[in-house]
Amino acid sequence: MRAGVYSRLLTSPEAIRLIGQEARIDPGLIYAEGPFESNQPRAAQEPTASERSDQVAGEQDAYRLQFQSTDTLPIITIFSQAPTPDEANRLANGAAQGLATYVRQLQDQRQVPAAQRVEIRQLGQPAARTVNSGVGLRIAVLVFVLVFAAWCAGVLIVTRLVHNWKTAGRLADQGEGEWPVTTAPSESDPRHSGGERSADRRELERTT
Amino acid sequence: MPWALAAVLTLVWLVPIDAVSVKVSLPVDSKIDRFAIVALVLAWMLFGGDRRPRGRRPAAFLVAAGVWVAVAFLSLVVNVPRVIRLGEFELSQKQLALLVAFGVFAWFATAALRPSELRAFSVLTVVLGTICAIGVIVERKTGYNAFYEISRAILSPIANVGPSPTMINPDPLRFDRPQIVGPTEHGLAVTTMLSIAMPFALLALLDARSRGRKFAYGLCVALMLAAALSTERKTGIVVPVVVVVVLLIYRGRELLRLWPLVFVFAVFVHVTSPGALGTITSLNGFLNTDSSAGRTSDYAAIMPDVVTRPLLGFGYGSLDVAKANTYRILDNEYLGQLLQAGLIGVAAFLAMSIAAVAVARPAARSPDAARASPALAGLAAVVGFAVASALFDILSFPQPVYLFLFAGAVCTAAATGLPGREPARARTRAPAPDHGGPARRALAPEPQPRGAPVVVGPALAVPPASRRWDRRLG
Repeated sequence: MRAGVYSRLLTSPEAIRLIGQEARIDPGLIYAEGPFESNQPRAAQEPTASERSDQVAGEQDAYRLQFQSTDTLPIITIFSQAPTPDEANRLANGAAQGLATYVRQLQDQRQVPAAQRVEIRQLGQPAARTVNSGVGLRIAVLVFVLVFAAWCAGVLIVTRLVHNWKTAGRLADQGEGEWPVTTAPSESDPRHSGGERSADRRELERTT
Repeated sequence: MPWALAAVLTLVWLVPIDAVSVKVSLPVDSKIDRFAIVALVLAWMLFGGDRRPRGRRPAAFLVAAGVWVAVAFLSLVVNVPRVIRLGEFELSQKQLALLVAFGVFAWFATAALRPSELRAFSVLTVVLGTICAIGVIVERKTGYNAFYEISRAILSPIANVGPSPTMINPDPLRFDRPQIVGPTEHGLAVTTMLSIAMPFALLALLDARSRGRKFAYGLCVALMLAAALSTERKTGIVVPVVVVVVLLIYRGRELLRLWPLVFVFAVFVHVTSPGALGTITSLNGFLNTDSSAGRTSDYAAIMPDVVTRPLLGFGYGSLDVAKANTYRILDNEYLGQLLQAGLIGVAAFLAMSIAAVAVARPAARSPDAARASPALAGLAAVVGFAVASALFDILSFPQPVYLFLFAGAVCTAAATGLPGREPARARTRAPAPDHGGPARRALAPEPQPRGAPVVVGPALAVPPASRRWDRRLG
């Protein structure tokens, strides 16, 4: 229970500032979250809009900490994430030392008697390793597929465009490609059936 | 090629594809449907494609599907740093592989289907849907999921089949309803599958002329309805109702003649699946249930993400629902697409349905029976899918998506060879028969006087200039 309280304490801005100092990392680049109540129903675990706002704001931070604790043991498990294994180790160590410093400062300020003081101890050294090796190659494949698809689509569109353009030009040369005629046929133009009919009528009137 | 398509459809209907993992290590999920899709492509290459003649095919649906896939890729590429930082790249990669499988299937189905095969594929859909329905009804009665058990028995040498999620007597503290899933992982998915098959069966019932066929197709519809209600999901009522409404719009008079069948179906459902009709009463207070409240609470909760990345979202496939403290399970695929691929992604996802409907409409009104009924069935199935997408995260389950893409391909095939733009004057001159639907009209064409314009299809009385204009547009 107490471990949960300290875990929450570790996500406060003051604690993150101390962690940054200990790890020699800009505190503005550190995002910390947890602990999560994993034994609750899912609906209770899902983030509300305000919780999600905090998470979204922290997604840009490259240095990430996650704290986990259980009700039965006075232990906080720290997961750290950084661009390099060395920085991830430093961040995890910094979190443990930062918590110890933070709690010691609080107890000093409030003059807690030595017998009642809480002592924070780091139980082991962190072991960092790269979890997404080969991701560069996969991203390259992803970008290649996207660019290749875009290129193919572009080639198809341009080829179709050029073909239609040439066809339209050929039809225009052959006199078939005019735009559809929408004007009313002229009386004086005997090529139109109406014109032919009126010319015939005039011819008929003259002969009679 | 049509046989290959039929084989994949059979696989989708009868095998729990999202629970069958082939014993091969791949960088993406080694689900059996991915292998089937690869087999489709290999078959296409082996036989040099489909060389049978075909008419002019409307490209709208396929282009919309392609755009959707492209937008999904783009959303991920744009958000790669974030996705990697949060450790969600693996999941996105798997989702993209599934998306590519969807895209390839859409292309294959559209390329392989011919108008002359639509009737055969409609019958196949009805048969597969009926087998699926029988399996679901048996599952509800006995708890035996034949799809999982038979697949496990047959595929065990080459694949691992996961356990069936079926629970006919669940712990009431954990589940409020039995888990009846058929060949899927969730009752909602199998309900949507059956709803997609239902218009094919209903139209076959309308078009059937012999009493035996009428009885057979009526039985198929009743079984599908009983199975959909057996899952005790509200979607099992809402989507079939939407499908029937679409059919009523186009062939209302014929369909309304069948209204006495409603009572027959009700009795049949009660006998085959006792208690399933109670799902209808659950619609009472539809908007006040816990699930409905959960849906509405999603709107506010996703706003931070939407406001932060409105256009392309935070990357397709990176919504990891296993992280309960980070992401919500959104009971609305449009919201899911909005989060993952942004407004452009939602528009692209919705455009597929709109394109399929737009393509199918002229074919559904065609007097050619071989086109009209499949086109209308495909149209109704697509609309049903679009509505189901608003009711749950439909892309989490591959089967309804494959069937939706098949329905889109049916719409496209039905419209293949139809004239693209028909002059309005010519259309209004065509006499509108005052009896029967399109199918009956084609079966019994009215005699035309000699010398009159040929009233065979919508391409009647097109002036030569307009024909040239059409060709240039094409």
